[in-house]
Formats: sequence, structure tokens, C-alpha cells
Amino acid sequence: MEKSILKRNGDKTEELSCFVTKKFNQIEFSYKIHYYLDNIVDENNGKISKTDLEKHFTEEQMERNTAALKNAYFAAQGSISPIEIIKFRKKHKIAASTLSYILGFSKNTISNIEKDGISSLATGRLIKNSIENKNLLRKYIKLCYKIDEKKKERLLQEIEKSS
Amino acid sequence: MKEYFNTETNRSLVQSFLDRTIDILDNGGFLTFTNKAQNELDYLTITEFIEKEDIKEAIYSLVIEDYYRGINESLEGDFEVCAFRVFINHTEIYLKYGLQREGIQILIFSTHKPFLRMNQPFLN
Repeated sequence: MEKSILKRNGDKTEELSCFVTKKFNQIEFSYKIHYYLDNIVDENNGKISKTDLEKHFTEEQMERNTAALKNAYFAAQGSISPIEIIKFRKKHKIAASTLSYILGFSKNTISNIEKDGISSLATGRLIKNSIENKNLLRKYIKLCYKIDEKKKERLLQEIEKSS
Repeated sequence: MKEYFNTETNRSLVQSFLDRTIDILDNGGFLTFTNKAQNELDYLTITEFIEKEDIKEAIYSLVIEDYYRGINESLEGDFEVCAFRVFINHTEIYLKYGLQREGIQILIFSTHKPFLRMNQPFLN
């Protein structure tokens, strides 16, 4: 469903989105941003243009766009993305809290990452390396004392099936 | 942009701008970022870990001495625009925003590291 946003004159407008490509520190990456269109304001005299529109961003859009920016920037440097974690969990039927415990995080870390984005490049890389390396993942599952043996067995079988 | 000198009247003018900013924020007002400001903040996010909430906090913490340039008294513009020099996480930032004269929008125009040395006429 399209999201409605109030422009500064009180009129409703639709949220729009597009892909942008950015380059920081020699790293190029693309991601999706959300915005709306409103009349340009001249930053020198404060006058609103009667005809020309440009992208504007609400606080909420800024938060979403910043999370997407960081995810894409980290992913371009070898980090996992929140979407990849969700896909992995669905494929292997692993709860977010269980994956958190397996990887050595606290209970809500994985669900927070899925919701808010990757918190640091180191975290993103660690998760990616851990879930892509089946031997390492098996070892972490076996070593995890916060999940019971029955669950461990099921998870090991799930990982085995995909190998 | 106009640059005011350090007089009691001008200090009152800037204080009134800051008071109005807080009034707007405390009464349901909201920050909106221009395309330029959004791109500049992206750069600060990657290089300095500065995000939207840091900008908002900096705006809440502004004092007269942070004034750099601006404020159009003529009432011709739809926004009153003012620029400040602030430090966020020890990083010097040129922060420029406007207050909608007949509305509750605070429009962020610039959030970048300064290109030039920024004088602060009210600091001394």
C-alpha cells in the first residue's frame, strides 16, 4: 500500500522510492531510498519555489534510508545483510533468538539487526562467515549451551540437508 | 547570507530563532531534510557515525554563541534561515536550517564539515 505524507502546505502526497548508487572510500554500492516531492526552498532567501520540486525526506524516511545505506555499505565490504539473515533463518527454520545464541550474541541481537540493520562491519562479517561455513556453524550449534539437545539435533539435520 | 554583529539586539534575534526552534520541536514540529542535506548526512554517517538523531540533538543544544550566519528579518522568505557551527562527536559541522514562517516544518539545508573557517561573531 502506498504511504501518504503531508507536504508543508498540508496537501497529501505519495511516498516514492528509487535506487541510488553511492561511492565512499572507493567502495561503490546501491540501495533503495524513500522520499517525497515538495517545492524547493531557496536556502539563501527562504523562498519556496512555485514550480520546481525536489526530493525531501521525513525523519522516518531518513531513519529507513540510513539503515539501508549502512547495510549496503557494509554488504559491499563482505558483511551479511538483514535480508540474507532472514532468508537463512527461514530456510533452516531457526528462530532469531536461537541464531543469536548459536553465534554467541545476546537473545535479541539477531532480531534487532533484522529490524534496524547491521550495527557494525565486524558483526556483519562475523555473521556471514559463521553461517556460510557449515563446519563452523555445526561446531557453534554443538557448543551452544543455551539450546537443548533435541533442538540441536534438528538444527544439525537442517544444516546437513542443505550441504 | 547576512552576518549579524555582536550586539544585544542581534543576540536577541538569534535567541528568538532558537526559542522558536524548540517551540516547534516541542509542539509536534518535525525535521525535514532536503536532498542536499540528506546526501551530506549520508557522508557523515559513513565517515563520522553521525546520524539524524545527532543532528536533532545538536539543534536542541544550540546556543547563541554557535551562530554563524543568517536570519532574514525582512519577512520576504517563507522560511527564516540560519547557519550555525556545531561540534558533534568532536566533529565540526556546518549546520544550516530554516523555520517555516507559517507552519511547523524545520527544513535542514546543510549538514557538512565546513569548507572554510567559520567565524562566530557572538563567541567573543
